[in-house]
Amino acid sequence: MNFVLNMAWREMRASWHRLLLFFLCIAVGVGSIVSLRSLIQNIKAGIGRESRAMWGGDVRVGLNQPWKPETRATLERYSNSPMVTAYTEILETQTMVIAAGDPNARPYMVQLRAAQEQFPLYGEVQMADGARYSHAILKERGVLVQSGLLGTLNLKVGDAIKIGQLTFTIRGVMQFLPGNAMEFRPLQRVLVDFADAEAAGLTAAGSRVSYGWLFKTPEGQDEALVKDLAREFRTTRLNWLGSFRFQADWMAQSSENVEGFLGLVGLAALVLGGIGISSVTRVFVWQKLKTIAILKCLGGVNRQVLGAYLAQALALSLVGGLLGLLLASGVTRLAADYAAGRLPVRITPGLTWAASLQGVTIGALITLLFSLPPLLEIRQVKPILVLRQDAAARRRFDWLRLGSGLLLALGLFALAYWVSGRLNKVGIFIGEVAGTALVLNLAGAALIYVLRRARYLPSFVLRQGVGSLYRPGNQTRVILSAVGLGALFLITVRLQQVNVLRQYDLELDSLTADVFVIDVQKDQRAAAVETLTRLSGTQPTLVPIIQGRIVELKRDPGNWTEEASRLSANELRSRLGWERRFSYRPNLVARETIIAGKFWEPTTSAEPEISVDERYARDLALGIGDKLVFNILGKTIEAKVTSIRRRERHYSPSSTLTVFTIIFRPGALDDAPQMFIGAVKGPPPGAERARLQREFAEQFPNVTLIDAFDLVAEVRKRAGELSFAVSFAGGFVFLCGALILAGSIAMTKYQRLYEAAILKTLGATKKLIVYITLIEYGVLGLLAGSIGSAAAIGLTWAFCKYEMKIDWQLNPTVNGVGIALTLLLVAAVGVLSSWDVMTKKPLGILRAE
Amino acid sequence: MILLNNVSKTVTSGSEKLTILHAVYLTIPRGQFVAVVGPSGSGKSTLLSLVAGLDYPTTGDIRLDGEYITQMKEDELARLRGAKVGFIFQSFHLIPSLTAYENILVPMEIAGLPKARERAQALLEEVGLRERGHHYPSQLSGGEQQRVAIARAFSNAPTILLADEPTGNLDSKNGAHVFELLVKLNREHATTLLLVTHDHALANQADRVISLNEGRIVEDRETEGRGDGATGRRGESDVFSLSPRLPVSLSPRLDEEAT
Repeated sequence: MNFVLNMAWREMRASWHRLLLFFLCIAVGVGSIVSLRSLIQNIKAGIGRESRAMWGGDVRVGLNQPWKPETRATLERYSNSPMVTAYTEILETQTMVIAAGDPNARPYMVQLRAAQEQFPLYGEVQMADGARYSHAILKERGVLVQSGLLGTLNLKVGDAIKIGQLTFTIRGVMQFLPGNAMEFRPLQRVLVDFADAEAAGLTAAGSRVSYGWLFKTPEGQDEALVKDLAREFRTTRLNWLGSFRFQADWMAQSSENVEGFLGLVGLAALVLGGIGISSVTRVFVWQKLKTIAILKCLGGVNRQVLGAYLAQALALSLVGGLLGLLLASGVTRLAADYAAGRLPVRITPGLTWAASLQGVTIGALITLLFSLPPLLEIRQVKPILVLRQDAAARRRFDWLRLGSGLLLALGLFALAYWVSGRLNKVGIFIGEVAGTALVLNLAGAALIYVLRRARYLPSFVLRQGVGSLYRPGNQTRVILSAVGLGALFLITVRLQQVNVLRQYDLELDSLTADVFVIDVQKDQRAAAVETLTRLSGTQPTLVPIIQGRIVELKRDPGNWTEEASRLSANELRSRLGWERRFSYRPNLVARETIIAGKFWEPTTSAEPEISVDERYARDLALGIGDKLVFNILGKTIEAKVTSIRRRERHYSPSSTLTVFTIIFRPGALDDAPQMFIGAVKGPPPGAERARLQREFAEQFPNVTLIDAFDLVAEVRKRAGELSFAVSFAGGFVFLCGALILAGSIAMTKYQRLYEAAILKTLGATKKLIVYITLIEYGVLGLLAGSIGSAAAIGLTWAFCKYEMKIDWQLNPTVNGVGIALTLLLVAAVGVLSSWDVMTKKPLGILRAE
Repeated sequence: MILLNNVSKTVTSGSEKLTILHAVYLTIPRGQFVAVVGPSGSGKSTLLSLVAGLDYPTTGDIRLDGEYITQMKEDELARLRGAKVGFIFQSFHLIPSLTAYENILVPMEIAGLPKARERAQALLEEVGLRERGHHYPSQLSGGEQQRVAIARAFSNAPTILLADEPTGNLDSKNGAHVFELLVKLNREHATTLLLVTHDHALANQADRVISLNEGRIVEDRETEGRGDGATGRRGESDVFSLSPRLPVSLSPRLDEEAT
């Protein structure tokens, strides 16, 4: 044991620079696993710590209409009961804000919250300037905004903005607003006093306001309160009722999914690192043949010599792991800064013990798994090598090597399961990595096969450059695998981002409307149409919306199918009863097809008829002829299902506004209480468009106006941030690829030094050797980039078609740039890593040989 | 004692078989200093590698101190070498990543010997390199490197010392110095020394000279040697070397002696 440890230490002391790449591979791999995992665990911890602050209280009750007196009375009764220690009311709405005093200013939609003095029950409103929040800031028409809004409206603290019919003064910038729950809406938030919202006319009839009641309970009483309230409001359909635990569980579940994914990304980086380790170890053993032979001459048995090098590998992996922790620590700090304000929860930067321990352990296991097969070669080294250089090891079938290969496969499977926790993900991960690695490996073998036969290359430089790709000890396959996988990852992320964003561009181009108005009241209809027509120059379409509830399903006797019989009364009740929005129209719209029954003629009918969306019909096992009973503001309507529609899934900024599960035939609901959603093609962004928004907002303060351009800009920003985050994670994979590349090149350096020295003595100039190197690595880069790019095309196509169900389009620019960058990177690293091969004087090298 | 019985070595080169060593019978008593001479390719180094258990003979048996090494597995051979055999090579074969001191220490660490550090230091002083112990092989001259190699060879107190042209890479002054040291230590430690050399002057200082040519022993003679009783045991041996050239009737003695 003494010898094993001493020898490991001495070898490491002497060869650390040769093995620099070894521990860099581990460092980057461990760094990626630990930082990605710590980040998500910190988010989880943040959720755990701040779930009450995020939820706004222990229990939250919400409704999308003003409280009825009896509901309010019940809530007040509970507020004053011993189950509640504090409470507050809030309201939220989307509304337009506009810089006051600027006649040319354009309005901008925001998410407004109005809060009472007791708000927040948990957490605190964090101000950008570090000032302490108190409700007094909001008094006398004060408003707090997020920094993005100041930028968009070109305002500063102290300036005035108009919200509804009132003018407010911006009193400060919020960094964190508690009580956002699971809202990930891309709108900027503003906070005003509760009383001001009403005074500004934001709660006028027809406004889309959600009313919330937040409770603070004694520790552990939250679930009991939720139960009691649920019993109280059995007949009133609340939009929200739940304790902070529900949200904490939901977010923990979501973050676990993300954690699994990021864990696999980290593992992918580490597996690439493992390939690098395997490659470094193989060459290291090859360079140490003589030392190994000497040790065996001096009495060293295989177990001792193998042990010494294995201990060295493990020690390096630990050092690399520690370096990785350092790297991860920096990365999580940067990531926490980046995520601040983008996530609804604050993240404490730093590494978690669990992630650190897991990362270092996985690093050591990957080292062991990947270095063992090449280290087992030590057993084949014969001590006779010290006397005869040509004494080749006897090659025979080695069960241990086969075993180590199997161990590697099993180990990877187990590690992938450990980090992701799901077998199907492990299968996909192993499948993808193995599939691409196999293709890259086969491509490498094919390249070597073809090049070996390409004997009649026209120039000396070409012959030499190409020859290096298949000579003994070449690193062609290793480089192709490492760089190809890295290129695949990054090109895929970029291609996917381009495809998703292009979808929004397509939408904007093809939209017949890009300005939407919501909640136009029946009596405002004519004026709204007139204003929109005047300001936009086009006739708007107004879609009616009726709110109501489905209270009963009367199944046609012929429709008692097996599915219908399987639905229990409880299941049915849970799928009916909710407050829903319905509409009526005479015809189908784009992307809609009828899959059962027949759509009505474009005429009115007093007999209520409905067309139901395919998915809802499936949930209720509906058939043609079934009847649904609706309660629309107290009036009961029984409507017959005459058709079932299929809607092509499609991303669109307007889809949430105009898509309805159930539509009526015109006639039956014409006189029901209703409001309208309007859509119009507005003028291009600029003064005209701003005027439309401004004048419309002034004339109809209760109506929400949505500009698709604003929405798309926000979505673009979010998509950009998300793809940056994914690219960031992917960057680890690419960095590992680049490291392996540099290492693979460095490994063959000793051989290259000798060959270059011979070429130089035969008259080759430095320039000629640079050209040879460029050709060698240029070919490799081109092939790795091309295969990675082709695989990325396949992957994004499948993802767009089957997962996101959006149109996929080839993007030659992304692929072209991807290939070119890979080529440049590989060639540059190739030349730089071989620089001393070109610059060293031949005499010294030949003498040393 | 080293005993070779009908030892031959044949290698395959392409499709051809090449016999490097033809049926050698040889007995070297404990403590004897034997020089093996012969032109390049005569089989000297092959003979040495077979005796050291670095390679397996094609036919025949080799016994070291009564142990049949030809039937040993690789790790058993390594253990035997660690316990009984010391090596000195023409190109020194020090481990470049270890200091001079550590190179001497390594065989003792492998064998797990106690007080290895003190012994390594003592050997370093014995070969006159006390101040150079922390230097790496690349920082030492050829002569110094070979002195480290000699100290290393003696570190495990081997009973057999194998030297493959130990002065071949040194100039005459350094060569003489190293040879003197080798012979001195050999005498002090009473080891059996098998020295492969081209240098007849050096060979003549051995107790016995074996000449090889084309894989056969062509001469096996005792010398006048150094005449200073260097080996201390010359003439004490009650056996003598055998080769196929000698009368077959003497063979039983070989077997008798071997047991």
